Amino acid sequence: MKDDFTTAMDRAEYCAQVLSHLRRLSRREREAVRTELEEHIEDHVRALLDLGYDPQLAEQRTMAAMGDPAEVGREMEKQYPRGWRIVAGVSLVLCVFVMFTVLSNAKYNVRMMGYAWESIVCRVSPPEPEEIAAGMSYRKEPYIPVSGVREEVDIRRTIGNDVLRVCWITVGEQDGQLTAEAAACIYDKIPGGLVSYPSFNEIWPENQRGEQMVLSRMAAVPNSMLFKALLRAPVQPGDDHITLRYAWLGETVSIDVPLPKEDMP
Amino acid sequence: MRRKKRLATRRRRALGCAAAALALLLLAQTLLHTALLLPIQIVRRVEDQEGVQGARVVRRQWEPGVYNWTNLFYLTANDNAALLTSVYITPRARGWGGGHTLLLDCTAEQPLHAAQEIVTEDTGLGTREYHCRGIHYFFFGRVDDPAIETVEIRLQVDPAYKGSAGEDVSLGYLQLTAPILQRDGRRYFLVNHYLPEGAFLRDGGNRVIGKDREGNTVTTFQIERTGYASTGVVKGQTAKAST
Repeated sequence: MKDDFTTAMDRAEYCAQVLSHLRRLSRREREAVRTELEEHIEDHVRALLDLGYDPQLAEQRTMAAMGDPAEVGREMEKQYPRGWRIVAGVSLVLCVFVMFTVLSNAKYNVRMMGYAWESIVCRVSPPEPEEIAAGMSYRKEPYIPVSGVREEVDIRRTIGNDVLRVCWITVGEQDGQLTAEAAACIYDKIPGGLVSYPSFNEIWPENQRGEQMVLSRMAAVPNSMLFKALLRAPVQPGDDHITLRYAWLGETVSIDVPLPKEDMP
Repeated sequence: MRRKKRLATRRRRALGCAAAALALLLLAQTLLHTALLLPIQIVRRVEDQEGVQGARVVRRQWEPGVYNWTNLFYLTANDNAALLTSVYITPRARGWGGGHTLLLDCTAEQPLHAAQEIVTEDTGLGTREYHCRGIHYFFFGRVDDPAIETVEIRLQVDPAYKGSAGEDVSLGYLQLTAPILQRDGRRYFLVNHYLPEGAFLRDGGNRVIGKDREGNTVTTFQIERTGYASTGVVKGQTAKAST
């Protein structure tokens, strides 16, 4: 009889023979295959029992229907190509590498996460001039922002890969000179991206007559993902705006920042 | 009916692992700027910080003798600038690091733009018993005048230096011919040379010469745009790189 090779076997023996042909499988995968086979045999036996078969006959018929264990084993092994195991191994190595890189330099990475968070917060809640000045901790003497008439503005302009956002404009007397001071922050278009140095270094604030101040740009503590700056230009009564000029590698951007509508001091 | 537990296949498990690994890598690279697996990622980061967008690689040169055996120099450029960036594998960066770069602004209308990167092979700036064993010179730039067919560099050397085999030294200058590289319809050049201790001049003025087909000088000027770097090599051991 054709199915003689299975009729004499019991389930455990059949499964063991199928598994003996699965050489490339891990222990966990072999267990999964065994479970699946046993469940399949069990389902088949139950179906025959429901049809009124004798338990022993149901078992025999089921084993006969399962087919040649060698052939089943070979076919099942094809379902486990080696390539996926390599993919999983490489992925695991990559995970370990990334985790090691992040954890072994934890201090730096915590700082970078802080920077990223600050750059995200800045998009929602821009800093005030005093906050920016407080961040200039590298200075021996504290930087005093211009005090006078202050107005909140929201001017956003793309410069290079970054966004310059002017948040506040203040006009007041500073060292005997009527001065307009724009509080701005510069961040990458993509949260977590680095800000380019020229986005700060190549910005020149000037008044309507093109006049500039010697100390026209001051930045807070360097955060590579967010530059916070105070940009000053001398103004005169009657002026209605200052201009921030950016020029770098052929790209020129001009941003007019309106002065507070209230009477200037 | 009995509900069968869905078995995780090898494919599904592998895809899950790959997705997790990629998500982790993406997070580390974009947010922490760490775990950079490719040298070009360092180059792109540097370009971003220099305000250069859309640059393309003109030439990648392997220079194992400069910092360490993994040292690569990338000449990248867009329509307005050219950059020379040095990258190498470093344990401190847990992968590719370095990123010292020199930017050459090419927006001015000139027949030739040139810059030089000077990498000193020394004990590191500010170290005790400072000792410089030699200098790696890198000259690069862009050729805008179509009449210019060859670019030559005149590297000022110690007047007593006679030159070694293959070096063309006369009247205190070592002459180098830079190969012209084509990229996106523009022409660039990149040439490097190493001078050992006793051959170089600390304050030498190096010149670039653009010549036409007949060998006539189209333009010549002293190279002003200069970048400095130090390998920080102490008696054959790599200590640190300072720029």
